[in-house]
Amino acid sequence: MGRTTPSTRMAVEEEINKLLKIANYMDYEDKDKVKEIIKEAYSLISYYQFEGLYDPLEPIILGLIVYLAKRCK
Amino acid sequence: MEGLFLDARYDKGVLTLYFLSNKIEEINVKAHRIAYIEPTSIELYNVLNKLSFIYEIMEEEWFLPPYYDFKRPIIKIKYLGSSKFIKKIEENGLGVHVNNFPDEINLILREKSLHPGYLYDMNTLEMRDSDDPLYKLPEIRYAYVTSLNKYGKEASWYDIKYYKVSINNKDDFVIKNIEELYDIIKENEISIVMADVNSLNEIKSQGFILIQKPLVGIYGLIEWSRISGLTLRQASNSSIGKILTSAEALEAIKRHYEIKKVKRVEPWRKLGDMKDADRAGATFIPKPGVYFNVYQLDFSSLYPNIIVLNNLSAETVNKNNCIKYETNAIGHKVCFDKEGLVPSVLKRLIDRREKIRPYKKDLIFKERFDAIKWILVTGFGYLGYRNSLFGSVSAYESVTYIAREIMKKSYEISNKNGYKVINYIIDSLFLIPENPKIDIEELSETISKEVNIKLRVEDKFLWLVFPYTERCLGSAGRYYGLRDDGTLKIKGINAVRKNVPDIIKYAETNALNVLKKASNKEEFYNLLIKAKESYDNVKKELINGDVKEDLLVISKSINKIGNTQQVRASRILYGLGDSISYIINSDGNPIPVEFYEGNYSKEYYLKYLERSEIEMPWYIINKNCNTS
Repeated sequence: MGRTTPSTRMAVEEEINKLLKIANYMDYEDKDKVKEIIKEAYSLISYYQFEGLYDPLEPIILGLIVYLAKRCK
Repeated sequence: MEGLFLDARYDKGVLTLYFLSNKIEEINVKAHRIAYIEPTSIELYNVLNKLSFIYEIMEEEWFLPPYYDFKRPIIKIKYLGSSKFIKKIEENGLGVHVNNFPDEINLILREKSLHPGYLYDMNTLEMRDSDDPLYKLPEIRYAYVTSLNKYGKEASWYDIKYYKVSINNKDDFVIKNIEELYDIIKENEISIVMADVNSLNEIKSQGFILIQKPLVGIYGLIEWSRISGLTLRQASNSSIGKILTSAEALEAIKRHYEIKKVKRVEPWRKLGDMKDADRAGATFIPKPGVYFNVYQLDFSSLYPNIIVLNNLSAETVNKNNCIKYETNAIGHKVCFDKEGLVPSVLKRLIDRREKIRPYKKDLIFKERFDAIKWILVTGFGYLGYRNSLFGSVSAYESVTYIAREIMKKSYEISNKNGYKVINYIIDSLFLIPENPKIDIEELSETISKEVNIKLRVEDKFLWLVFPYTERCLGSAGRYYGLRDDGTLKIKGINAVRKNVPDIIKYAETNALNVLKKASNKEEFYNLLIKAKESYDNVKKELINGDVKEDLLVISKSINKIGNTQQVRASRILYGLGDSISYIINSDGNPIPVEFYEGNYSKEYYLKYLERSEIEMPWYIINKNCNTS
């Protein structure tokens, strides 16, 4: 009954939150930018609606690819 | 003389029928009690034959659940007196009581060919009606009774100040004492009184039918009766799920499908396969922002249509004895040998609704139309509810899978034709014509043809906002915008949420009413400052203490507060579904409105307003949402 959908979304959020926490500890002046890129993964979860998501890290990796693509423009 | 059959009671061999003609007429007829027993031991026949109060024993052939592919003899008995012997039969392992849903009275009525909600000749008890959804009704004089508190809002059990009596949705009376109601009923020749939970217990039925105020209005309730076979009283006390299940039970009885709770076990699957199959409908996370010239397209009854078109029913999915079947991509086998029970009920409802659609400007038809809509909405949920009589998780998974495929196709076709999809939610798409190759009507027609389900252009928005949520994301179900007819559509934000104090709604609505004057991008941005000012003015009023106390009231249903023993106990004492209204006092504590003395917490409401401001468009434009 769509039992795995909320847990998938929560799993991605957990990964994002974990990375955001780690980013907070970082001694890096652009860490806000890092956090912004990590958060990009939130908006990418939607694109997994049709094909399904197998690993919660997938949207985060896709987020990095999207960021790189934006920079390559 | 003709009468509308509405209600019935059974007591000690007498069936009392309630008809509406000029007034409520009572007719008594003799009737036996009826029970169906599935034998589990040959000994059952001997036992039943010895019971003197049983008048008739018949053997009938019924199809057995879960797949209804085999027939078995079931015993039908007619009797008088207590039904305790049935329990004893079950306890002794002689048989199982079946076909007892929704209730015994429905079996008795069926035996007498009496269907609630239909017109009958009251002398002969012959039906004088057809199954046409545009059926005519005699004039019904009815009243809604609502208990209100001092702020004119629906009262809790303890803060009733007066009652509003609304006659035929036209004339309103305000009474302080419930006793005054009886004169109003007499003077206005009222036949049916519908009261909220708090007033219901205080009213005594005297020559009129008294029922709980339904969700759908009296004409919707009669439609529910006709569809489900439930009496008006039963329908008014039922959840929508029960109405649907009763309609399904009617169809089951027609087909001689035995009604018995059975476990429909899911097939064994690998974890990966389950991950693929066990997903909900497609829902987007829209990017928060302001969008201009947006179309909203809605599929008409998407899930019910999927169920009907694909014959998805509890007994058709993963059925073993099947000749003609298709296996879908998530591995479920769907049988097409015979029309499924759930699809046949839903198909009838969809057709019925479409016939009513052109007439829905009329209140009677609008209520019928909405009543069917509610059942259709429930249809999908109950198909997947393992404990429902006609539910199966496998059928449910097939529906969501097909819905996702439909949304995927719609997404691709829209993109291909130059429309950008900015949001989709289950059965709704939001599109911006970026480089349109065809007009929107043509696009909706193309998608409709491709997926075989009608896609309608629901709205055109001059501007549409997807606001931030608390987590600084967008949400598919939260948006507001200005339609091209000049009206606002507001979904999911605090301005329209039930448990939010009116001051928040007031601030948000004020701001949106300012923006209502903006018909294009330039005007929208020009009016933003003014809109923000109107929002800030509410904050000032709050700080200055100029706020009327009724704007501060928070009403919450006790059922939603929690399920502690205390709450459960108070529910028994004060009634189900009750709500509590309170104001946050200056010391930060919630005070029931009756005990509030005029000092509200400025800090609490101000913080609430500030929190709520993230839903406003200036917040999105400044991009200052931050969670961490």
